[in-house]
Amino acid sequence: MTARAVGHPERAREFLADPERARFHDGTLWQIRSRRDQRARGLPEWEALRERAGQIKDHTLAELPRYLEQFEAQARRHGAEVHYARDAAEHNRVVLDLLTARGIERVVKSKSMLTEECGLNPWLERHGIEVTDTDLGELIVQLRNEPPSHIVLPAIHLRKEDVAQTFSARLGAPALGDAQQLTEFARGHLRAKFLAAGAGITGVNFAIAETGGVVVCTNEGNADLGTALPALHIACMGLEKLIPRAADLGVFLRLLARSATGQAITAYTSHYHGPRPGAELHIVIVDNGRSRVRAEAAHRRALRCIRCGACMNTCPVFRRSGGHSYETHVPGPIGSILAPLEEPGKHTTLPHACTLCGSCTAICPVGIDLHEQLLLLRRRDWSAPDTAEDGASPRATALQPGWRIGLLRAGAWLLARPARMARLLAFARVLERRWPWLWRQLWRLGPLGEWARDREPPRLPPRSFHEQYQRSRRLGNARAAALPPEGET
Amino acid sequence: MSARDVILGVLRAQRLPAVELPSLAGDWIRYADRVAQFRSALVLAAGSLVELDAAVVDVEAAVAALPEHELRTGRRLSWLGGGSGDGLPEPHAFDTLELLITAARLGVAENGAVWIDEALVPIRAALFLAQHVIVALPRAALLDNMHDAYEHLGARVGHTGYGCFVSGPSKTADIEQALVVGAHGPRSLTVVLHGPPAP
Repeated sequence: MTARAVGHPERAREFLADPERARFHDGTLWQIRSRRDQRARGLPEWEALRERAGQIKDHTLAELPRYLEQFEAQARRHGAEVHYARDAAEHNRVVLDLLTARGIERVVKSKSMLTEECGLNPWLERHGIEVTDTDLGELIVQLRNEPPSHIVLPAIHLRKEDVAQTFSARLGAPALGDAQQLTEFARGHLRAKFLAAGAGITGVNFAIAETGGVVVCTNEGNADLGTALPALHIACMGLEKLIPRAADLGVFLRLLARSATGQAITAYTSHYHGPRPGAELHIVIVDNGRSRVRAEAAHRRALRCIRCGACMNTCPVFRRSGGHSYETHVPGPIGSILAPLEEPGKHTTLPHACTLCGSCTAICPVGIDLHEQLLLLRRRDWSAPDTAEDGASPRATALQPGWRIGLLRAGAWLLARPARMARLLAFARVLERRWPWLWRQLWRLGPLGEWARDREPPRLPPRSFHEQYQRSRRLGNARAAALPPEGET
Repeated sequence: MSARDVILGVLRAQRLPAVELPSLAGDWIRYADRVAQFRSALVLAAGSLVELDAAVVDVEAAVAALPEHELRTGRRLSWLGGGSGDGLPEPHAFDTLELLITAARLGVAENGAVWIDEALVPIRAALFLAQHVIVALPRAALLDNMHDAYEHLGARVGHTGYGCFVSGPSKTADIEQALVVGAHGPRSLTVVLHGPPAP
């Protein structure tokens, strides 16, 4: 077989190589999912909120140009500067220009999946700017040169021993045993970074068109420290973050933290309207493929996403394969929709990393039809020309058309020759019984190998249907002969 | 063409079916005992609640007599009487703050959050640099849910440069989902309820 770029199945296999760790990952995420359930049940209006949230987002998306202009005008009125970026490169240039124009060399950044998407950190570092991720989970993965494995819990794939090892190797920390000590150490390390930073970069959870404000939710307060100390705040947002009215937050904030971590609300929900006195606020609005998703009627709803991560916590595939196996900035069910649409020809194995169980759809706080969209995307893979740029075939987990046709022809040939078919099956049954190891290996050869690798071959019955039929006919005839003829009782 | 014009042009060229903006009115949750609900939500958020007698008039003095206050021997700062940003030092100067005492405009029973804005905390960094925070909240300003909170805040949300729903102290569970209080910001947050309840 030709060399193939790594797709989701291969990366998942790497994750599963450590079964204890994989079990921990699975169990922890399920626990968060259960907490979310408790919270959702605690609110009688939960379903009404989900419905309302979906409608508000659909409305905003439908009238996005108008709301973008309104937001921009209002934000400017407060003294904020608004920039637009068509793609990741443009976003990174805007941010770098803002920093270099002010001679800023040290930046603190709070969690922003958008800046992950754009590869902002390596870009800034290449230009001599020190970037410190200040969300604890993000700091940990940054120190390890890894991407976050989950959008809400960036270091969920790690154990505390890993974190302790990372802190001593990279920050010279003493041997620290528990989460409390490790967090305390990071607190000290980051406090110095906050105080020394020339700029704070944040993501945006919601942007209010009516007021021109941006809202950022954190539990640690890192976004607030990062924007309350330096004189420059750069807020980076995808254009789907808009909501029409401040009061809409009543709906979204009630859903967001409950869905994300099972909290009623995050510790801090900060509303920024304009810069603080003597400081600057710059808002960068990024497209980077989002308008492409908006163009597709069947997939537009994916832009409702408020990045709570609930679909990841509930997904049986995500829990058992880890966020890194997706190789996208947003992993899990929602990422498996957005990534292939935003970057055509890439991430094409992802829609197959799904059991179609529908749990994500059932739990999504803004009512995205996740599993249905994933199914649609699989279909698209079948008809699409094989132009995958990442080399991972869209059909990495499915049969290539050539193999499919070949197998069907072989099947037709065999089925047309019953005697040969019967002999082959008899041979297969002998093989299965006498040399089960060889039988299993045979399954893993050829085109079914990828699929069969983690599956047991089907058990063959002791007799074929044909044999059973013949047998019961013989028996039936014998019994019929033994019975008195009908109508003679 | 600027990036702005290109993006807006692309979006405008896409014809999407109209969707109505829903009203926010709803049969949202109400609590028979708001204080009890607020307390339990706040405790879940790792905060704590102190209830002053409704007759207490000098909140400042009552707060100063609390163990949460007396135990903090370092640098204390009270903005209870309202504060102005004028003449205040750089935000970095609040790094050594042990205790910040401030007021909240309203509280939300459903999630234990209180709304604090720039009119109450003129240097926002202080709210996060302080090791401990005490927040005074009038009983009458305790509301049921977030919808009521935004309705109550109204245009104020957009008129204050910075406003924040604060629910308990700073915290994280990023290492193995073990809850640690005091991630970057305050290690404790105490809400002090005072004054008569809403009529």
